[in-house]
Amino acid sequence: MTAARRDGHGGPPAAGPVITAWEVYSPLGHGARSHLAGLRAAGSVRPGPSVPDFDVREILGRSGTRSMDRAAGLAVATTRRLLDRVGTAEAPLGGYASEDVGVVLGVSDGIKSVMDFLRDTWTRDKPYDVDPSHVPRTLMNFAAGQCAIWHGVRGPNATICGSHATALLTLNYARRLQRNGHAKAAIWGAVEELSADRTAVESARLDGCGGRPAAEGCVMFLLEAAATVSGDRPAIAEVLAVEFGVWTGPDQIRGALAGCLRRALVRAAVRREEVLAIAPLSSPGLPGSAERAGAADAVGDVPLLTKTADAIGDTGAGSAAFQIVELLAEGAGLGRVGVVTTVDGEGRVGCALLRIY
Amino acid sequence: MGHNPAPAASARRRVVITGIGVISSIGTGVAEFTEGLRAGRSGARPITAFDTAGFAHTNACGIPGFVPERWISRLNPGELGRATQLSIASTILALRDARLAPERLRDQRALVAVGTTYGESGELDRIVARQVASGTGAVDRPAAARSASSRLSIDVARELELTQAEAVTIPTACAAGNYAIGYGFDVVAGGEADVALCGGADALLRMTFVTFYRLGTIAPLICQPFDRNRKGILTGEGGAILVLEDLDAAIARGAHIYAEVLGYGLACDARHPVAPDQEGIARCISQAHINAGIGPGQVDYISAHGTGTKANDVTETAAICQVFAGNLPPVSSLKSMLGHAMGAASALAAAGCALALENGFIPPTINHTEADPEIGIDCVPNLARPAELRVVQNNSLAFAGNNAVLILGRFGAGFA
Repeated sequence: MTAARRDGHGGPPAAGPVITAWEVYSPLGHGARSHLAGLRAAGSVRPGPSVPDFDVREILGRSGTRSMDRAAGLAVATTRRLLDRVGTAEAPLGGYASEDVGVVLGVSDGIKSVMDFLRDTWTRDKPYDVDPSHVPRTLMNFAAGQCAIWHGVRGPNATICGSHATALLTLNYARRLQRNGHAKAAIWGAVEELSADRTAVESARLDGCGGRPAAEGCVMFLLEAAATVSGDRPAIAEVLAVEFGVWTGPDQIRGALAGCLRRALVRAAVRREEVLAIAPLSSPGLPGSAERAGAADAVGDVPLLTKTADAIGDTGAGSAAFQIVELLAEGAGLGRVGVVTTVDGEGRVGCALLRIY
Repeated sequence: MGHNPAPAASARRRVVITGIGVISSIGTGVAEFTEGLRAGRSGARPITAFDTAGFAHTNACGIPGFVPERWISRLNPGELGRATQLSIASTILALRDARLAPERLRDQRALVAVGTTYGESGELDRIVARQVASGTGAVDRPAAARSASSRLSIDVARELELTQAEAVTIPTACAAGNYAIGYGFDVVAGGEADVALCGGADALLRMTFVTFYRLGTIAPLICQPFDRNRKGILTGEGGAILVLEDLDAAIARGAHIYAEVLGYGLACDARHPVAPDQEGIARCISQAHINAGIGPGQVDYISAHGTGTKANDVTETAAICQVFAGNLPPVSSLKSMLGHAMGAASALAAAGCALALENGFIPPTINHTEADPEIGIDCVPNLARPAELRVVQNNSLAFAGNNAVLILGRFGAGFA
């Protein structure tokens, strides 16, 4: 069986897992429609770095949100939008049983929650004079657990971390969960919150990457087996390959990314002529130029999509998820291959190849 | 339950453990660690990693003698947080144990998956302490550079120059080691990497101690899982990394095989951010059995999560009894010896399980004085027990309802 597709345009039928839905909260707005409208208007509109009008307790209600940090609030709210898109009252998880769906969330260190907690340990009468209700959010897996609790998702629940490669690492984890039978479908995505503490700590790091102004947002996708999707929820994109590599000095970035892309093209049996566009991380300075050069070495001269990062800024752990969204919007209906690339400041290069329907 | 066992269960490659790297409060390296488990050694000692003034209890299972310079050569240990140091050093130990030169892995497809709870939060504590002391918002720049938990995995790849590695940190709290090893299993079994270097690392942190102290779960002196008089956890630290390889490749290069990874299961309680849940744990155990292609009757030993808190031990053993109804194998807790090394804990326990299979003994639950009548298990009290083990189960539970259970088998015991 092959995946039903959005329309009759070209490309072979999907065999790999497919993305069938996505949702977002971003500085461009609440939900996919606002985000895409904001992207189209990018250049004429100048959004701030934070998700506008996003107060966790207003968005999710006052029950169960007292000690929820912004990242968890964004992840829970985005997942709710995703499930509103694919679910019904009778089938809230898009027709899947609760234990058959996994949650895989990409995150960065919860810098604000941890530093708030630690400040209390240094400034109150006793070091242990902390609020116990603040403990859960100091753990990096808090947001993924909250998504499961709020939405009753009882399958595998995982949290993934890897700097600007986070969302690609998360996609690969979700793909393998599904492929290896741990879950029939995966709600996966990545989140980053904006805070003064995060901005201060990240700008003090000397990695020379991610030099755009800090921003925030969350994207969540639904990943399903190609064979199980049907006409009422057609595939938006097929995941053809996700690949990584490592650089140990700045002069190796270009070669590491080119090699990573070539391995992905071979693995997916995709010719470079099939590639429609590349959505790179596009950091300022040397990492960004090395990324462009490495991509051109492997794929040739194809359009680069950088509208999201140009408009929003550095969404950190969420960045590659936003790159995927831009690629999906740009390539919709064409049946061609879109490429996401990343070069983080720590040593990772990564890419994903998606056939966009 | 409508779950599909791994569709490729018959097609997937067999995965074996060919190297073990352990840095723990009861010993460094396979020989010391094995000896520690067999002798029932305790890693509990007074805390020296941070100032404990003002706390009524001050014991933990730290590793005061850990010298990262002994192991780490390419990167500068001073530029690495302690959890990252433990992660790298454990990996180097594991590769030496596997007799795999890093040069040999350089152009191979490798997964580096490191589980953790607190990652490099200790560096954030340095930043905050200095801010509070100075009364300014100035950020300690070297600490900021060390403070990313994403570095626990990528710095392993950078130290070893693994140019084709996928380096991922899996921060699923106290089940993270099992998550990482399970991930390595899937990746090697599916033919997506030639080798997986996977496990967990966490440092002994003031933040961890404060957290569990505030929650009222720090034991005064020792950790006594399953004991009527248990008083909670001792925080701990450590690193444990396993080398996983495809069986055929391992045989072809004449590798020593400790054990076979038979499978694993993951399940989420989706109920409470911190309290464990019997149903979620039981479902996770059953998932692991299905994934490994075994039944409860085949399990010869369970390495429990076994933290030594009132809540964990009762809930976990109830879940075990639910699945193993009337067919209960011995259940012990390595945390009685190692304390709770957080994200490293289940990786240390997985290493212990592999060594138990290899050496034919069950690690004990030490510090046992009186059985808890609410807990009807054989906890292998105080003394290691000789046993010919074929299949062992390694439990791990975490805040956020993240459960992960790993199943290992003695290689050659006939599970093909």
